[in-house]
Amino acid sequence: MPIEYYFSLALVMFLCGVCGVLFRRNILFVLMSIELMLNAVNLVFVSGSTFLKNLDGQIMVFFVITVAACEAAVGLAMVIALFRRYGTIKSEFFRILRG
Amino acid sequence: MSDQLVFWGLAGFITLSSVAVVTVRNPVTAAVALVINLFLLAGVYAFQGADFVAAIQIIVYTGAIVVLFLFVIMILNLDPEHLRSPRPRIWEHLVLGVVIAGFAYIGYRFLDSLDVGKVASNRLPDNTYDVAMILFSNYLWPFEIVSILILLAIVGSVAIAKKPK
Amino acid sequence: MLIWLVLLFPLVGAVWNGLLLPRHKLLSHSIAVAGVGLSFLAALPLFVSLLGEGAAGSVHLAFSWIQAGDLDIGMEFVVDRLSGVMLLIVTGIGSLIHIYAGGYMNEEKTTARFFSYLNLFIFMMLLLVLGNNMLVMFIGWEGVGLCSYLLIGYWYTHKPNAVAGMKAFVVNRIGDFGFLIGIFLTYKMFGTLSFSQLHEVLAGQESLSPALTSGLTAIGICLFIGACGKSAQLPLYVWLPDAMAGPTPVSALIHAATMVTAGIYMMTRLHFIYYLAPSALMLVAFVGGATALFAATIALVQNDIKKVLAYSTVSQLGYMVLACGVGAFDAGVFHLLTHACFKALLFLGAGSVIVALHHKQDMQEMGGLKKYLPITHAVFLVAVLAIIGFPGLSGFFSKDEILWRAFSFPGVGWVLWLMGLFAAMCTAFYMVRLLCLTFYGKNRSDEHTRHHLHETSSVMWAPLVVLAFLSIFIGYLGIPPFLAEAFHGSNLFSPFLSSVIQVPPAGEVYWSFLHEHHSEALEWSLMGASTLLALGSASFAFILYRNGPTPFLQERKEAFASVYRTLYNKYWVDELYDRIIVRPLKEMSEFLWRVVDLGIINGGLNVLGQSLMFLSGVTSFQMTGSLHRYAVVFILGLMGLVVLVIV
Repeated sequence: MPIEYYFSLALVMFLCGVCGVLFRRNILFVLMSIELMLNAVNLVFVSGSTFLKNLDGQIMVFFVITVAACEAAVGLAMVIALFRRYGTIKSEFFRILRG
Repeated sequence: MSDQLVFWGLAGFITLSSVAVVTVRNPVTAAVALVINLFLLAGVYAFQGADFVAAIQIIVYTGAIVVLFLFVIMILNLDPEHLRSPRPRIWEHLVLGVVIAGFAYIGYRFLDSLDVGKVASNRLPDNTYDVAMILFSNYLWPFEIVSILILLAIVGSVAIAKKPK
Repeated sequence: MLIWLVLLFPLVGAVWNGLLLPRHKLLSHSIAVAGVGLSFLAALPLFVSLLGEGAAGSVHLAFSWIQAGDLDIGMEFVVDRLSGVMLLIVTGIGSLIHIYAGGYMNEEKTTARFFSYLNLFIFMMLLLVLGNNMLVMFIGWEGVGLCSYLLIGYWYTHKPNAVAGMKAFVVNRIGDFGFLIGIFLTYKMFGTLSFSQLHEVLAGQESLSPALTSGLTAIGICLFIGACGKSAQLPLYVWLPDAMAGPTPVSALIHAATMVTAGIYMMTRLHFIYYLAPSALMLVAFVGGATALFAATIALVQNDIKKVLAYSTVSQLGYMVLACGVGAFDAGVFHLLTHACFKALLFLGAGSVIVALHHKQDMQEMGGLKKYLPITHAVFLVAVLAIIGFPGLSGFFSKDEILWRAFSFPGVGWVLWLMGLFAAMCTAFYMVRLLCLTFYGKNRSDEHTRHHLHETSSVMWAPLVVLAFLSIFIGYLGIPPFLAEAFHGSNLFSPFLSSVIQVPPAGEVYWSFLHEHHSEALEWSLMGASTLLALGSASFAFILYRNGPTPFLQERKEAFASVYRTLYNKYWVDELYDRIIVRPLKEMSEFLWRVVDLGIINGGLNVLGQSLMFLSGVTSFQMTGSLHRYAVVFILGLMGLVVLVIV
């Protein structure tokens, strides 16, 4: 398969992730969209590694997945804390940085 | 032939599930769609011969992260009222259009300039062995640091999510 | 080795008293006396080693201090005959005054701070006289100024004392400015500040270029400005009378015997510069003569006993400066020595009187103290006789030497001689007046004070007796040559110092008159004239004042009312300074403060701050706080950038 196909697929996934971040008000959905974006990037790495016959790409994926796991954990912990504090997780309520 | 089939099948369902993740209202549905997405992606990796990564993807991403999402969703116990998104406003449509157009354009320009070539499916005998060899020699230092990062994340998330006294 | 001990003892005393602040008065007194006394004992062998063979002296380096490029200055000390003499004066008379001070300050609760300052002063003064380069001397110079300030304002809770201290320091500072310029000029011209090196350079010159001479003249004048400040010459003498606000031992030590003589010492030390800058010395001579006369006239009518002595000090310093000005540095130092003895004695005696009268200083309330304070009277009489130049006492020899050398200065010498002569007559007059008003006649104190009148403790009169002996006999060290021949004595002092003080070869021509031989008759007649006039003046004063202020004197005062008022108000010099210097400075400061500092600078900053706040208000509308909005903008921007790059 030509590599552009894989890249296009990754692009579509990334686009979906971006739209999710931009347009969903629910923070959980935002986090999920971020995971989607990360996966798109992973796809690019793996395809690149296969195409260039270099295993470094797959090592990168390893690290990306690990970091994504940490980020998801911390992010979800914050969601829980926010929900406990504000009773809602709609992003329009979090305006502390205003002014 | 079979390659094409596999690819297009996977690609189609991946696209569908991606769209599903960002459009559905129910977070649980979205999580499930995410699971499907990640599974299929693991399949793509395996298709390309990256066994190790595929396995990691399933075990860590699907098996841990999305499960974590589900846990949180259930803990929060959101009511449907909560989940209703407000009507998208005009500018949101505009931004959507701009974003899609922009991405399309970027994609077009970028992909156009690539060297056309086939992905050599180099299914080497022992992908895991090769990955391990590189990981623990060239990338030992990042490996260790990442383990500390995980520790920090554990401690951090526990600290953040703890019930205040 | 000994020299370090000499320097160390007073420093240790100062630090001990200053940091530990012992509560027990006897303890602090003993520490202080030890600080000076041990230093004196260490100085004696040093001095002895300078007699005879060791005339050359020695230089000791403590440590190398500044090394910056070409500038290399070490903490260097020189022990030669000149600094040896000063060393003995400072530590010897200093010890006597320290002993006296224990008795004087007995009414204080604690004296640790006082004695700490006194010892510190001794240390700084030693730095000054023992330093081998201008910078070490300057450290001592500033240090004694500091101690003077601290000690004048010792009873600082009484505001005028603090003000007097500040005045002393500020006026000194003006002089120090001149001194610093002199140091800079010296360094620029010669590349070194070390006395030994400067002496070598200048003594090695056969003749001087005009540029070098004018440079040396400039240096001389600048350094002399510093001497005017420190040694209270016109126009920077104004701090000395005010400095009498400090405790009397301070006045004795600092403002009579040691600190004020620093200027004379400095000029003597740098004789090789001054001998080669005759115009500067001419200025020095006239300033000295004028000061001597000026201050003596003011002293004629003052009523505060310490003020009389203060102006007398200024006048006597004028003599010493005059001596330096005519190239008679050895005579100047000799007078410094004798003056230290009898002036210290006068001040300490006055201090005894003040203590006996419970800190009253107005002579109009004294009188007849002879029978209440016999010992004090006896030593005081000796001092008065010494200062007026009574034949046979020390002051006679030293003052006469100066007058003679002034007269024999070619050209204008006789003018200087006349100035000195009139000053001597005034000196005799006011000193006898002081003696009479204080000790003779009827007692004018009130009942209460008279009841408590008694002689002071031995701690106080014993040092006075020693000083009295010195005042009588120390003069015999410096008998002028012509007299020496007549009485089969010899002049010890001049030859002693001449190994250190010599005219450099380049100045031989100008100063050749120093070696001229004058007729003995001229010397005898001059000496006779000045002595007779001084004694006559003294007798006149005695007749006028022997019974205290009489109605006759009151009439005389009214008859010469305007003259009297001018003299009494010190020629209104302080008022003049206030009008032309102090007040404009104050007003300028106030202007700078209100308009420039508060108005412009503060106002400018306020304007700046407010404009920033305005700007931030203008742009803060976009900080909605909505993360969502931020994310949108972020992604759009990123995309825009990427597109731009690609396009």
